[in-house]
Amino acid sequence: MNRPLGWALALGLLIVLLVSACLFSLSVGPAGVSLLRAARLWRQGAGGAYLSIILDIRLPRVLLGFAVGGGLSLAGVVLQGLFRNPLVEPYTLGVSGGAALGVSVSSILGLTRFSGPYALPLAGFAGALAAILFLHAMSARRGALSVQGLLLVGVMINFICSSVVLLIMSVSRLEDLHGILFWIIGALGETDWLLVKAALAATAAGLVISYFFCFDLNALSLGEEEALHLGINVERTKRMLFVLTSLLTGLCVSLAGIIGFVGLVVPHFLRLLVGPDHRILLVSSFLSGAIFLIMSDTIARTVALPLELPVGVVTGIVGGVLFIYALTRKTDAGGA
Amino acid sequence: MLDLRRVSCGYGGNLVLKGVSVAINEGEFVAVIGPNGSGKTTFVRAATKVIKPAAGQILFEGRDIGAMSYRELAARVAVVGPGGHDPGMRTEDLVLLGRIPLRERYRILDGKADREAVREAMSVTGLLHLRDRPVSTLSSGERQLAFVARALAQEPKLLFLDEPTSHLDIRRQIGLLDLATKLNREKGLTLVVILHDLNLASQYCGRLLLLDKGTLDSDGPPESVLTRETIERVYQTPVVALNCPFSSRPFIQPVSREAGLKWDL
Repeated sequence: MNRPLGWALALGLLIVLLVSACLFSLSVGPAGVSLLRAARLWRQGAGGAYLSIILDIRLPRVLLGFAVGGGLSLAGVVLQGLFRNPLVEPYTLGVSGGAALGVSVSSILGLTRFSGPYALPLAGFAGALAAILFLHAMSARRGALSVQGLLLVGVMINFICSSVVLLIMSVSRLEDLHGILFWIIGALGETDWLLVKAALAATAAGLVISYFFCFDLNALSLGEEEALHLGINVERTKRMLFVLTSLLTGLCVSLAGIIGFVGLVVPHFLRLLVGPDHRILLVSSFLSGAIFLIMSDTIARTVALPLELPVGVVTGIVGGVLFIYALTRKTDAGGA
Repeated sequence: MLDLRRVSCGYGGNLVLKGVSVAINEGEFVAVIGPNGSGKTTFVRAATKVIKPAAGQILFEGRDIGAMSYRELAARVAVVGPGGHDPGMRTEDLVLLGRIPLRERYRILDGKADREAVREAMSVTGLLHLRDRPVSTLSSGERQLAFVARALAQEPKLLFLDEPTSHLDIRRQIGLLDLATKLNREKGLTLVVILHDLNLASQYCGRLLLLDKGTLDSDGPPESVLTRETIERVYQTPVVALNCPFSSRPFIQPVSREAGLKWDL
């Protein structure tokens, strides 16, 4: 098989799907404004309100879905490669727990009332950073980064944080409670342009940086000692990639809450579809995660009108069902 | 080519190698033998910078390997380990991993040199017909060869093989060591092979390093290392030493304790 040709085809297909998903998502919504209708009216010199619905309400969501979906699946595929474990996801490192705690604390302290739209994202990012720093301090104390040790500490951080979050929720007022809950389930309601642009730039940078490590990840699929024999500075690579994925996850979580399953299911699927070579896996996971989240968000905000579902619920249900289907299908095919 | 000077190393405070000095010359085919836990694998791991020596110095072509990057070292030294993780990839992709230390650093697609080296490595090991098969579907002999092919794609000057013949039947043991001999003679590849089978070591290697409890007990041709006295002392079990009637290389036959007592060995 001609590899570059196959890769180009896969990439082309994903880009077509991505563009279609974006156009579809821009075109549906509770206001009933389709893209075609808005364009027609705009050409006639009217329909400024329609255009504003598309550009100011739907477009930021689509772009944020692109950045967060792409960022989470990129973090997931890198971490699964590092851990050589398909059940690892971006939240395994405790980042989500830290971010949730940050958001809960800031909303119970009423910080949202003072600093406006940036309060929750900043609080979430601060919480995520605290979790990352704690994790790295713990691992630095023991010398070399032990992959299993990091995993366990990360899971424990999540446990502790979610317990504290539950504690905070059980004593907080009803209006705060709804905010915390909605944020924890995950939603793409953030429409501040500065934050959306920052998310786009950061996740795109993350994708580019991850490509400096695509061969390292390929070598690591044989194990750490084999990767050393292939000339990979394993300790340095692990450290850089942990920092990269932690920052990516922290950013996504602080903007969109804890959207589950994107970082777990999408990389897993793509491994089945395009194979284990990270040269194609990284970018195709990024694009597929973006498509998956944009489509999930479109479902979330249209399926139960006039209600809007949290997108985390949709990704959880859709992702979970697809995951089980893929796993059982694979064992059928490979069953001895 | 590879020069260990009074190297001690181990894990934690526990020294596995204790002051080993040995020099491997270019073009040699050396076997490392010794009981379990005598430091054979640790020797390879120290020489390839997987673990740092606690004392002593390791030179490759005159340079301290501590001052070389992993990439520089991997472009010259390859290792076929005991194998472990199933990489979940096709055989050809596994072999292609061997090109990592040699390829231009930020070039994503494979170059002509990469494709040719992979093809050459697979044809030398006789794996061309298996290139599209997932590694997980190969037999243990084929899988071992695939890892050898990956090491050859690295185009190394020095190749370590860590127990390459374990889990192989005798035909594949001979096949693999014949291939090693061919690479040694025709391509001038320097080989250091860890072997448990003393008789294979005797047949194939001109020089044997016998490790015992982390020290180098004997170093020399099979005739001087594989004697009954040395082997019984190091392995602590009765053996009979014979000579192969064809090659006149030594042949070691372990015998049961009972037989040893009966024959007064």
